Parts: sequence; structure tokens; C-alpha cells
Amino acid sequence: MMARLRALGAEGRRRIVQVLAAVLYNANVGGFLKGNIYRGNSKKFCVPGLNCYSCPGAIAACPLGSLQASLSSFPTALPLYMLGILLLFGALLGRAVCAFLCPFGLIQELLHKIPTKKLKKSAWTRRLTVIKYIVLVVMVIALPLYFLAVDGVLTPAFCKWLCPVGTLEGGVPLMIADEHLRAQAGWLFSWKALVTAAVLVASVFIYRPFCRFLCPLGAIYSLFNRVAILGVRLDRKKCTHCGACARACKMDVRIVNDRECLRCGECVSRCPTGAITCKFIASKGGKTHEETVRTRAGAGASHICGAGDATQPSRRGPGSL
Amino acid sequence: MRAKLAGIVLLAAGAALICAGLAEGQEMRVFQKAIFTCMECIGIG
Repeated sequence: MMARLRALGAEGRRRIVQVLAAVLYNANVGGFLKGNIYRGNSKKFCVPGLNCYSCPGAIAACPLGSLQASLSSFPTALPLYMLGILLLFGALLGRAVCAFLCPFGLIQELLHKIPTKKLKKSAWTRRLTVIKYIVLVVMVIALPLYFLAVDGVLTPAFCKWLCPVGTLEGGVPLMIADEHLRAQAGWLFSWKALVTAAVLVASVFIYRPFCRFLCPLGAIYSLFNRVAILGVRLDRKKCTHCGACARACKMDVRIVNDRECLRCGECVSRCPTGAITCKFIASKGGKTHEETVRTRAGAGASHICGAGDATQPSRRGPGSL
Repeated sequence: MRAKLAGIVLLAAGAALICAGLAEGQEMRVFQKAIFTCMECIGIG
């Protein structure tokens, strides 16, 4: 069993976890058939990834929708419960949630497997990744509070006007099952369907476009990347900034564990000095520093990896953006 | 080491905030939102 798992490779093992998470989050299969949503006690808790609680299959709550809903008592009461949940998931996993535990991330990755010409990352795509922080501040926090102050009723602005997951997982299956809901669909549903379709089509040509440019949950978890307990670790003493990890990665990373890193561990085998390790995936393939030095010395290389030598200045490699 | 310590501190802070939220019954706000179809989320408004 372990040998088979190892043979799958890092991506294969990650895919299994993604599928299991998606199935577990949406285990209420009867909801799809009956066209209603689950009402059990597990909905007091949130899953770590983006999974709409109005999905007929969802057995737990969505962290973003719940965060917005929890702002309704602001400023009388701070949303301690939701802040605690996000802090817990972030400190434990950082953006590894995106890589392993988000069903919408899985959908985007599967769509990206369709063989077409792909849009490669660049300095510009790195700049565009800032948009998700603006979405977080404006649509998840500011606008809901604004509508609360003006109307006395909180409007979950991100869920209402942008989130493609609610449309795909909640809107579509519920409207297929319920003609009364279908009759109520208007311009808002048309807008959200357009956004959803645009993200799904973009996923064919662009790797994880929603995660990179728009997802406020990814923005939150990215703040924890450097300190998250589980997942990839970069040994900065061994790192020579050769850029091999960044070149191999489809995300807009400059270095492992920066804010764009999904901490998936697929770069572990690319590091020539073994500077990258992974805490919850068996990380075979990365050379240790000693093996690299011996290999290069044997090949007659004139430069020796400077990792571990505090007197050698570190330098940015050609793969860095 | 410092990063690991920061992670552990944040993890503990998260757990503490969750307990504080549970003491105030804030999980019921999440529950009340999650057990009814969110019309905004599905595009009805």
C-alpha cells in the first residue's frame, strides 16, 4: 500500500487527498437527490477550504460565508469563533489548505489538465495576485459592514457578487432540483453564472486563476505560510536561491513558502540541495546538501553549493520573478 | 525555530479564540446561516 502511494508521486498523493476532502465535505448525497441542504449539527463547524454551505451535499459551513455572517454583530461582539477557526487552519496548514483541502482548487486543476496552450506565469501575473487581498478587504469585510451600517442588514458581498463556488455547488444543483428557485433566478444569477463560467473556462488556459487572483480565503491563509506548522519547510541555510523550485512551480512564487506558495510539496524533488522538506508527504527525490556537493565535485564543477556556509552571500537565481 | 514557535503560538491563540467564541455561543450564528439556503450565495439575492 505504501509502495503504491509512493509510486503515485507527490501530485498523485495530493490528488487523492483533494478528492477525499471534496467527497467528505459534500457527503450528504441525499441532498442532491432531494434538492435540499443538510441541517445537522456538523454545520456549526467550518471546513478549511472553500465549499458553499448551500451546496446540497455540504455537511459543514463555509469559512468565508461564516466569517461574513459573523460580522453581523460587529462592533458589539467580535467574531471570535470564526477568527479562531481561520487562525487554527492558517497556523496549522497555511495555503496547504488550497493545495490539499479545497474542492474548487481541485476543479480548477482538473480543468487545467485539458490539453490546450497555457498562459504562462510572468512578472505581471505576480502583480495581479494582489487583487485577492483587495477582494478580501473590500468584499469580505468592508462592504458587508457598510451594508450593515446603512441597511441594518448584513449583505455577504463576496458570496453575493463574486463567489463562483456558491453558484456551481449551490445554485446549479438546487435550481436543477427546485422549479420554484429556478423561477426566481434573475440578473444576479445571470451575473454569477457568467463569473463562474469565466473562471472555469479560464482554468483551462490558466493554472488556478481563482486561487491566484481572486480567492480571499487563499489571501487569508497566505498570511500564515511562513509560520504554518505542517507542510513544506525551506531550510534557508541550504537554499542557494537557484530558483529551481520557482521555475518548476505553476503558481506565482518567488521562493518556497512565500504568499503564493500552495505548500503542495511538488518542488521537493526539484531542489538540488535538499533545502525543501515536507512534513506530511514522504519527500523522496530531493538530494541532500552533501550528495549535491559530492556530485558536483565528481563532475568537475568549479563552484560548490554555498548552502550552509555563512560567509557566502546568497544570490537570486534566473528563475526568480 | 522562530517560525515554528510563531506557528504554535498562533495555533494556541486560534484554539483560545474558538473556545471564547463557543462560550458566547457564536457557533450558533454560523449554524443559523448554514442550515438555511443562502439566497445571496446561489444567486437569487
